[in-house]
Amino acid sequence: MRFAFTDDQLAFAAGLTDVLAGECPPAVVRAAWDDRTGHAPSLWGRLGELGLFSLLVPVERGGMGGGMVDAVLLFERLGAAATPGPILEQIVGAGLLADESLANGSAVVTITEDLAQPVAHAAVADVILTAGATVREFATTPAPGLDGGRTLAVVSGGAVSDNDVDADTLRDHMSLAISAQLIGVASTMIDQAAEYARARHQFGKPIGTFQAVKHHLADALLAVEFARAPTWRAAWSLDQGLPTAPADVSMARVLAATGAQRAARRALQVHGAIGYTWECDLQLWMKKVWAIQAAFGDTSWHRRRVSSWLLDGDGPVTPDGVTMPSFELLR
Amino acid sequence: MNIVVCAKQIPDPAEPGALDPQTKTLKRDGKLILDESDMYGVEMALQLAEAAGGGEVTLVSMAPDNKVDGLRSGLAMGAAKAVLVSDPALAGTDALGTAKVLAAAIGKVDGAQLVLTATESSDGYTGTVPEQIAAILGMPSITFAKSIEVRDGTVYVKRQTDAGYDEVECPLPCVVSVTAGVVEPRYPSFKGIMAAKSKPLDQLTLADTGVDAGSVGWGGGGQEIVGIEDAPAREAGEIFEDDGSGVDKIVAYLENLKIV
Repeated sequence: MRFAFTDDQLAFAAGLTDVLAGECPPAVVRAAWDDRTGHAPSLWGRLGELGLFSLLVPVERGGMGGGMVDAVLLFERLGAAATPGPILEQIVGAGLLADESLANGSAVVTITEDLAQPVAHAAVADVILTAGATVREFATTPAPGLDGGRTLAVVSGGAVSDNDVDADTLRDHMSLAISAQLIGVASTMIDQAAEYARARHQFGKPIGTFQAVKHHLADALLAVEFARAPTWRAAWSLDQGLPTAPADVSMARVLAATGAQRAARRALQVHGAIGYTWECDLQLWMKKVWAIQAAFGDTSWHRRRVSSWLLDGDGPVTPDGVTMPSFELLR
Repeated sequence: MNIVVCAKQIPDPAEPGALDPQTKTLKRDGKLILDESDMYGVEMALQLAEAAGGGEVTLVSMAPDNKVDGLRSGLAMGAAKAVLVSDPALAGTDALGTAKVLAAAIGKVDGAQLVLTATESSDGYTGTVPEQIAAILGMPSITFAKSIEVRDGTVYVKRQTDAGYDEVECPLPCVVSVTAGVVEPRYPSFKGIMAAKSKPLDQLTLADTGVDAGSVGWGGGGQEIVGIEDAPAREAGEIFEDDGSGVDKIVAYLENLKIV
């Protein structure tokens, strides 16, 4: 058994990397912040032409019939470029609703768990997907948010139709997508900090030559690398429908979120005061980490889910479906 | 209309290039990618074939070690098939030898009416292969095309010049070299990337092309690279004290560079 990404999966990731290098430089991310839409329509069109939004849509609905293992590297690349707009939501939502207008990008979907709270990307979305209900033709009022590439809005009114997406599926798929996105965001911050450490001189040499700076960056890299394999594994568990999938997703999410938090803090530390400034690109990536922390379950919720899976009577369950002795019995 | 695009596969310019001290030529043993300057030709060919209401775009390439990654990129963009000539005997072949091999490979493509090339490759920069191919094939050649249209068996080209452009026309079949600005190359779609794997890719040896082995390779070029040296370090710029004539000096300098 070859347990690695296929040539196609790697080629898709390379193809997306090329598109993002050309079409989503930091200037494009900033423009989406500056016009207060958190959306880049031209980039959106390119990603639609690429076929990105059809990845998880079944073949019989005009999609590519891919799974989360196919998507996980792409989520990471999108995070690395701090891509603005509801792109993760579009990929996941198009797959869950098997909708052709979402698959080709002509309609925009965002996803929320609670319509009563401000909804990310709602102002640029045609459709809001929630568990059991799909909302169209709604009104939005802007709400304050942290990440200009992910605007928030209070949603009112709208035509509601039923869907058969359950809450766990929604949370697990979005949590996995966010885990991979966080790894990408974190990787770029580490790159930016490493680049800065090479360029910034103090005491006559690059600050990257000082051990304390090196250790900061190494710690951040270690945390991010530690999250990557569990995230890939969680994608595989979701695709295979394994009983461990919810715990695997939460494990990935906890590691990715703590890794990205660490990368953000260490990158800021390495940059020094300039890292706080509006002009420094680092802030665009840092704020994305902070903004998506709590979406689809915050770190403590996911940590509790892992712990209850480990310690409560229902689990843990091995991949073979054998229930291990519960914590009560072990005690 | 069937169109052939000459597509060079080159070492990734993002990686630091290296010269082989033995052969004194560029090392090509790593992964090769489609030369960016050839992406414009591939895109132009796809657009021309579409405008003509059909026809196939075929990529023709010569590369060491049967390398095909760059050709797959062109196939993923939408080209129908590719022909690769690869043979150990071709190592060291110069521009004219390359043109002979490519011309022979183009001759094996059925009904090729238009041959597109870049003006020059991004790794070798000789800029002579397009015209050599045209001469060998006995076709007319137009260089530096900034736009191309084909109507009723005639190709209409706006040819880039220092001052602007010339409008040139020429009957098919012919060879046209395109500049980097001619069109915006498309990104391969995911479906294109998957489809590229199953598109026909003919691999030919030197013998298959019928080109005389004595006219290619290290010995066939009639030239020899006798030495390679690092480029001289950049010298410090000239510094003028502005005594009121600074503007004139800047203008004269820019005029000398043909910028103004």
